[in-house]
Amino acid sequence: MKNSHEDKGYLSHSLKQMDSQMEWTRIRKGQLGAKLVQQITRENKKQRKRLWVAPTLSFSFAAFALIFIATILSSSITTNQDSNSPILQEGIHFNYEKNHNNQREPVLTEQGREQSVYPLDADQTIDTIIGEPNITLAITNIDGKQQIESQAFYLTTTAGRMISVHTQSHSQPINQWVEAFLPHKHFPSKSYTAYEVDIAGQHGVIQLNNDVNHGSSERLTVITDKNIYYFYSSGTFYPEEMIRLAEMFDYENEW
Amino acid sequence: MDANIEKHHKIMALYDLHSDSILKYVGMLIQDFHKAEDITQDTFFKAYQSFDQFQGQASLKTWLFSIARNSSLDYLRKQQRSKLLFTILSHSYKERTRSTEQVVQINEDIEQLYSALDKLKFTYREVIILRKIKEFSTKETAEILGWSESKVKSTLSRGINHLEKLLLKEEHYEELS
Repeated sequence: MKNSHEDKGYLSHSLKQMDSQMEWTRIRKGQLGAKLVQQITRENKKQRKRLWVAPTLSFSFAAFALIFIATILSSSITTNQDSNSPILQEGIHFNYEKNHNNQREPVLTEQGREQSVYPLDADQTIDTIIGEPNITLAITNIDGKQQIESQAFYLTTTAGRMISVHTQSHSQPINQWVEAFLPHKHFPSKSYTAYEVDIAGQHGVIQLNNDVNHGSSERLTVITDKNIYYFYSSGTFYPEEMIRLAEMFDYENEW
Repeated sequence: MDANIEKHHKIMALYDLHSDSILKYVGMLIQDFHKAEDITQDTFFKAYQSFDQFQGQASLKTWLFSIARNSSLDYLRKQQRSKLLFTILSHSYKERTRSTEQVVQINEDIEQLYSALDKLKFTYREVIILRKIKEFSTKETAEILGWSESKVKSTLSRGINHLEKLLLKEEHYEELS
């Protein structure tokens, strides 16, 4: 920066360069993107609830009674569904431990790790991956229902490059998500290309960046009945590597 | 396709395209890149909530920057109200440096310029970021800030002069030391 302000032209040039001289890591961008997806999903759930609740206020007593019965029936169905879902049990699959901020957070036990969707031995099959993944867990209680979100981070043989997988639950039909992740049929974006891939019988979408000047995230997205898995790379994105990793996931173990 | 899913898709496409730029803008504006991540998330969430009301008078990018600016101002006002500002200012450089390192990596070449920018009056800083760093046109900058174009031009001119003075001063101190 010495002599940078000898003339305003140079200062303007230095200011123009500032943006490109700062780098926000792709992992953090991916993490924030996953949080945004969760927030929007929660908002949609709330909206659906509001749409359902508002008209019921104007119903007569008879209608109210019918809804009341229907609600009891539907809640009993929900309970049954929940009991059939794979359950993460405290003390068996995870324990609460205090982090460096002295806050309690769930940490997977060895059994929990082994029974997770994430392969622990991916490094045995994929040469570019080193060791077991670091898996983080977040358990929230939304509307009395336990919601589990998790992330896995795989180190690679390239210094500084990491593969991160962000998992979030969803309740929409799979084909709607696939359609949403693919380019718009009539107005496709020029900044990225996306195409559908089969991932061990699950629906996947590869998204590649066409525009090097914009940081559009390259990723593989796998959509199952329960979850959406976002696969990111903090460095170069190799679609074949991601597909191989995604194919190793044990989707029957989904939480 | 479900309208909400289509909207969700559009917002995530916008996130892919503009989140880097929004994060850096907010980070430079409020001098806290950790908080900038929260505000970036908030910006896209608010965009999702009010997407149907977007009139198309401005570009989507300009619209997103307006939301990000308003969220940043809200945050700064809250900070002031809770009287934390003094604490933050008294430790501003130290806090900002630590906070920045963990979230974004800043090239050494621009450290001095970045530091000088931090010391500028808020209005100067925000107009310089939008016009000179983000390279918005005068018209677009006026739309984001809610100012007249002539105010953008005059504030930018004064801001650049102040920035030059700050850089000269820092260079002078460097030479003395």
